[in-house]
Amino acid sequence: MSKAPLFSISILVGVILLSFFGGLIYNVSPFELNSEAILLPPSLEHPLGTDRLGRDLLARIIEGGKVSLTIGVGSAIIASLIGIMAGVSAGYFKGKVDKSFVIAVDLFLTFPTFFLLLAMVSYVEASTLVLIVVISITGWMTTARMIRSESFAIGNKPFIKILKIASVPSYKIILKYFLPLIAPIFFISFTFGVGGAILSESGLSFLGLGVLPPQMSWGSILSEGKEVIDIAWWVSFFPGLMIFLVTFSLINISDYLQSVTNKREKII
Amino acid sequence: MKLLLKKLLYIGLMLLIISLISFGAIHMAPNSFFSAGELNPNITPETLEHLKRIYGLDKPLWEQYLSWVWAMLHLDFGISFATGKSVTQEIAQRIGVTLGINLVSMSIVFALSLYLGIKAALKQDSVFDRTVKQFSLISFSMPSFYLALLVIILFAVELKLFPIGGLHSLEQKSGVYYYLDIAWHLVLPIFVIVFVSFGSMAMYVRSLTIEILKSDYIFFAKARGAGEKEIVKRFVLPNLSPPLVTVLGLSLPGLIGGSVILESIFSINGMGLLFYQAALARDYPVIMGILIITSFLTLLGNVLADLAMLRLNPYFKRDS
Repeated sequence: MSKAPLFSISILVGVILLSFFGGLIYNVSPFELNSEAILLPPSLEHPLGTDRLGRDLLARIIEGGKVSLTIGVGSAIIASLIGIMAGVSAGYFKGKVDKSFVIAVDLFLTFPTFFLLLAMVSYVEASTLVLIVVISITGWMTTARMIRSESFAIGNKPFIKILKIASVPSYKIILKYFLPLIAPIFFISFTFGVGGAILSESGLSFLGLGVLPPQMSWGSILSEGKEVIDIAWWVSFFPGLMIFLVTFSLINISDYLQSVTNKREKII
Repeated sequence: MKLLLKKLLYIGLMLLIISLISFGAIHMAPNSFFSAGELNPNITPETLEHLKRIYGLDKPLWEQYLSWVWAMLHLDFGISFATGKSVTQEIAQRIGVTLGINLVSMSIVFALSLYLGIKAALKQDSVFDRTVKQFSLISFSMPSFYLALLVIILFAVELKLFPIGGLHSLEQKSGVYYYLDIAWHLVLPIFVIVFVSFGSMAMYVRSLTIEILKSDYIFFAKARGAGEKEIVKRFVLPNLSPPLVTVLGLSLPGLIGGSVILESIFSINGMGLLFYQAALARDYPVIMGILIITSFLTLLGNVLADLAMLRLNPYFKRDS
């Protein structure tokens, strides 16, 4: 039994508080241009420095955090919902439903996810909502597979078989007996999924296919910094660090949940 | 044999669906190449019609689809809208670089993960095990482009040990030096790929090994005095190979997808960079060509993995 990942939890809570309430304390505009303060290194006045248009980096990271976290959580919610519905129906009904499930998952796994994202974003203009949809429909497969194999195991339990023989309606069996048993695996893959979605979003933003200016996310700030990386490391260093810290904490928490619930599924 | 036929049929079905989806999705896209402002704004409607006729865009959709599939069966993916060159040639020139880089990185990842994963599993909950685990989690959460930027700053800009990008130095080298030069350019990209992918693999090997070590035959092997080395060689490795081969087959799309980011950072002229440029320019023939080829490679990888599985695991032979 491993210890609770207090360090990861506090980082996560800290970043969430910073992103959504940091603006109340640190009252600097993330949009304001300042030609006097271009590419300043971190200092007391600008704790994380400024970018090449003289905008304050801390304020931008706070603002970008809202977008990155929203996309991460939003995509993970949708992806998990798709995963639960597909996984449970495949595991419960088996047979033809399961066969079509396997084909669908194979199909999505065969497309390189990133290519699919690129192809979609290249013709739909990116916005927070579009990114959430795109990332979730390319990221539901892992959850679905895990839930499918879990549902198979649950479906083979004697009490489920008895319920089926007693012709209890399927939706009742699923809602009342399947979902509670699936809950642990759901939370594991959800925390894991949020991390994965934040990584996907930042990758897209990094290639210039993420949210459009004046909106910003950690990935897009990092991407703006890559042109001045040799003279101003801080512009890309800090947003990248945020992405890394948040995903690292989420994955740590997910790993902890796995060891607590004793559901060490192989996530890849 | 029957199984092989079934597998081939499955590949065919998958490719058909994939080709339909990618064709449909891209042709329903609101922004076409011919309206994206890529062309001369003074173009007359007649010239536009003429252009469309050259590319066969004036025919009904199903006819376009069929002729596209027919051409693809002859390895002809059409002509790139952006460069006017044959897509097959464009891809053929670059696919080697991308596959080569991924092959080398994947071999390193495998060797590293096997070593770390098995050792960690043998010494479960030791300091070594926990260190491997922490590094794996770091590897998993590290965005590849961020790591790439960091190593570029550190090793290319500050220490000037490795080049910032590209595949070749400016002056042409010959003989052995030509390959050494390429290798020198690829150190950083391969390091990044290995770093971001070894984590999940090592954890997978670790958890598989722990399962294997729990089995009765390991218990009895230990009871009759088999050493750690013998156990790993005779029991762990053979039992690890089937699941790992499957994972190898499945990891291909992720690797090629990851090439998009890495190749654009290190300006390596491979398939990933080509796809990125094509996606930005809405160059359909190139986009679709690459999608189909990578899907085909992935499916092929899966089937090869399944076949290898049959050889590695006699149990499945009985099943089918």
